[in-house]
Amino acid sequence: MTSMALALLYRFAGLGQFTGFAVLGGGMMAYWGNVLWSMASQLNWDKRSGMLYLYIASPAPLTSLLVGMSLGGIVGTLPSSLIVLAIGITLFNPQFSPPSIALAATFTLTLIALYGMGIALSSLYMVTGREAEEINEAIFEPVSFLSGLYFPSVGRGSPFPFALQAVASLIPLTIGMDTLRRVAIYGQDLPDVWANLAALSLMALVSIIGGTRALSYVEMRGRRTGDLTVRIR
Amino acid sequence: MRGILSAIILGLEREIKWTYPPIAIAVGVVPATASILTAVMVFWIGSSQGGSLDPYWIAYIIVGAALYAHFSSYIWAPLSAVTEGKASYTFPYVYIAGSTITYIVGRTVASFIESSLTALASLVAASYVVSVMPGVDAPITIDLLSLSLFLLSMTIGVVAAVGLGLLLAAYGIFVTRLEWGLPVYIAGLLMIFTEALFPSSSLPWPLPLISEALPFTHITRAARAALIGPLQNYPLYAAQALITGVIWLAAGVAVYVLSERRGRLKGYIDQRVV
Repeated sequence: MTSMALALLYRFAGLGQFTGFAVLGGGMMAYWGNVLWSMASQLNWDKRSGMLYLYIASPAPLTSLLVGMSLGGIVGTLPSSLIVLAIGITLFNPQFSPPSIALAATFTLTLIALYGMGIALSSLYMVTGREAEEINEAIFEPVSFLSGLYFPSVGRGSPFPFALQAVASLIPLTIGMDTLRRVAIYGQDLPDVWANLAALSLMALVSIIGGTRALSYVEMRGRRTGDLTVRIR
Repeated sequence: MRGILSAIILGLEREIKWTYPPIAIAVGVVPATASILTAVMVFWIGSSQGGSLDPYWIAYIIVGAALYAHFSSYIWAPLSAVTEGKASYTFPYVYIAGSTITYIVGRTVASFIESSLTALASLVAASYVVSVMPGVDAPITIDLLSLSLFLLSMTIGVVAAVGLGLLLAAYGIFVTRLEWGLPVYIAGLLMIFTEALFPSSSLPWPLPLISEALPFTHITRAARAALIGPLQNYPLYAAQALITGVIWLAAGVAVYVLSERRGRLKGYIDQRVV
């Protein structure tokens, strides 16, 4: 609905051809929401509902569980993402380039980096109580804004000053959205976006390694202090 | 009245006492401001590349998006009061203790208080950021009269929000999972139909008729009349907001009472939701 409203706003502002930004953002917003509200929050919810001790007691490591949940989240979110894209394309008819290898690579790397970030956040949320939901609320919109889900926040056409663009570039979703726009809307291909793809690959690697290490640390610390499965904090 | 006061205090504890209260308010301001700025940037990019940027529309979007963020954050409160209550098994106790409507109204008012503070702060913050970053001075009047009228329009909004909230709470009595789905869609529809970002006249007919039936549209118009002008339109919009709000409230109370009665007969009131 947000993506539809912003596509209408683009049209109202007089640039109907930019509705593609909002439609594309709506498709990716489903994943960003899933990373925060499902991936990152899952262990916190399990802790509060008393399920976490079952995971801890099971022989499977928590990281495997989260990697499995990531794959499940990606597959599970795909229909809602496709529905948003289909409705947006039907209503606003934005001009998208045909699917390409660059598009598939960008999409895959963006999701890996995003879900890696979800693993890192889940370790943070596991040591918090109800604040986790408030942190989610607090970061969802600002990250959507900075990463330019619905408008170019870095590079060509960005309204942000250079310093803010540099900060925004540290978020994997920013690079992912910029690359998706360049490939899907401006028709660029692998030779044009290789630097972005390299940056995304690096971010994916860092977020997964950092996320799994943070989770292992929190788990080991929790085993020592015995407060990991405490339900009310 | 004591019941409502108790529910308001309980609601405020729920909304802002998860941490140091000023931090809780500040944490609420950041996403609301970001949400306003997203809409402003979309319009700014669209219209500046189109070659015609009217600061009036930037002000229009700032006020509308601030109010939308306000409504969309506190229409959750009634549904959350029911579904969280069912999950934690407190809702059956509220039901036994007396009127659940009193409890829901109190929780909505508490959420309204918290959300009003964040809406005002985010309105000021967004206006400032817009004056710095794209460098547009949005013609928003901030003085005692305009702020008082703006607050009055938000207060009139409580009537409509309680009405919509009771409709959602009625749904909450029967739902057992994914209860967040409906409010998300309703909040999205409000963004399109309540003139939060653009006039309803830009929607194809007969969609503008839906906008006219929504009290939130008139509240948003009244708020704009207070902060942007013309001020003489304010009484009309405020009256329209109040009348449509009362109709929504009556519908909400009727649907909620019927749903609660049916929920009791079918055993939904004390059904544990996990």
